[in-house]
Amino acid sequence: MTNFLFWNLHGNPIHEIISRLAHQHQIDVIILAECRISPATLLKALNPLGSADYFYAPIFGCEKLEFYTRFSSGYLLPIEESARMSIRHLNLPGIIDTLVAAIHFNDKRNWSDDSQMMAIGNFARTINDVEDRIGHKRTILVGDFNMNPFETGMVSTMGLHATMDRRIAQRVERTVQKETYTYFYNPMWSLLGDASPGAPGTYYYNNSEPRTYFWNMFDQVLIRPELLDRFNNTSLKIIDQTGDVKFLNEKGQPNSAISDHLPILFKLEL
Amino acid sequence: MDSLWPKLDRNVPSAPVAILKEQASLLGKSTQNLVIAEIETLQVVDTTIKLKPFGLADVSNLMMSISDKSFNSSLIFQYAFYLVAPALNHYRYQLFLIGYGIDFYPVHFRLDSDVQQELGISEASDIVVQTEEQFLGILKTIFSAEKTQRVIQAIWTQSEALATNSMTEL
Repeated sequence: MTNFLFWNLHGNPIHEIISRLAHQHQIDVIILAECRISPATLLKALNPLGSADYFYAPIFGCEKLEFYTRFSSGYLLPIEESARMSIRHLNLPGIIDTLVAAIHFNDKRNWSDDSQMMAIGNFARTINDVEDRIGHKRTILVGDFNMNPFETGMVSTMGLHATMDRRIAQRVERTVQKETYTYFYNPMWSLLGDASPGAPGTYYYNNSEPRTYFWNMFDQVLIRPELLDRFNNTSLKIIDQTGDVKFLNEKGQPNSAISDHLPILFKLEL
Repeated sequence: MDSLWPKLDRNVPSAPVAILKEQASLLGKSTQNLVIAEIETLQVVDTTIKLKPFGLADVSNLMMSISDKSFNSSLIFQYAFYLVAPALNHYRYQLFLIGYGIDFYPVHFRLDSDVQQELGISEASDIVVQTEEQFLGILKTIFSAEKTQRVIQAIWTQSEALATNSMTEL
């Protein structure tokens, strides 16, 4: 079982909390956005004196995402990057060869929904290109998409083509106007709202616009059909505390002193 | 039958992609081919969302119009510019996209967001250049940007380290 954690840190120095989470859940791959903690600081927190569990996976070009691994970072080398996306090749001996793509997409303060929709197509194309290069589509895409699972950029064939239904994703691809598009499965749909386990979303935003969701599910993991047999929905969690440290404030919203986003945790049987 | 075609003149300005390819070929000479550049032709996707003019900006003395974020079907030629490390399993870093129509100019750029920030241009804007001179100017600006230099240094150093390790193992 390979355990993944993604968290947008909101630039906060919460290395001790990350370390607690990592050890509590035996995280193998930690992916961080808006991380201003130096690798030295976080490594010292992750590796108490006398231990060397975690490694820092050096950055080449994508400076908006940081990777830490519980194995030599040489097994998670980047293959293709841009400012906001890093696609890495996980080829650890003994587990199935997988592509791990992470994204920290442009936010809605700076980009309209239309602009997000147009730009996400470039990311989708890049993932397809890398899959063609590597020769398989065993890909997970995780990160802060700054879009909800139901938005056009997430669902459309022009975007990431991520469906809420595992059975539909297992059809592998869909042809629209003679072009074929591979599905992603988006399990985050099942965690939307207050009747789902954990918090209603990963990010809370309240404004005076007529349309306000309050809770948003900006932090997501998408899984290609080839990996679905290796993913159990019950392993996917929005985490709201570690030990006695609660990530929600007294109103039940993310405590921005820790982070304005909640972390997500998921496991794959690789 | 006589040819009805007029005398065809190929004496037209260089296509922007030809300039890009020439510049791409020059990078390897400075890095012993440990870092090279590649141009990839993008498949143009038909979107229905059109350009919305936004305003004007002056960056590094280049007059460029800025439009709302959009790479759309009106830009029939679209290319991605990558920095590539052949020795690192062909690692690629996408530095920018360009798009243009049948007339070559204007050329629309979508820059790496860090480079764009470095140039003081809002991330929500595309850069549009109107002439070859402006095109060459913005290329020079992008290639000289700190972020571009950081990426080149990172993959160059890593490639060098790999080469050194390989020699040691021998």
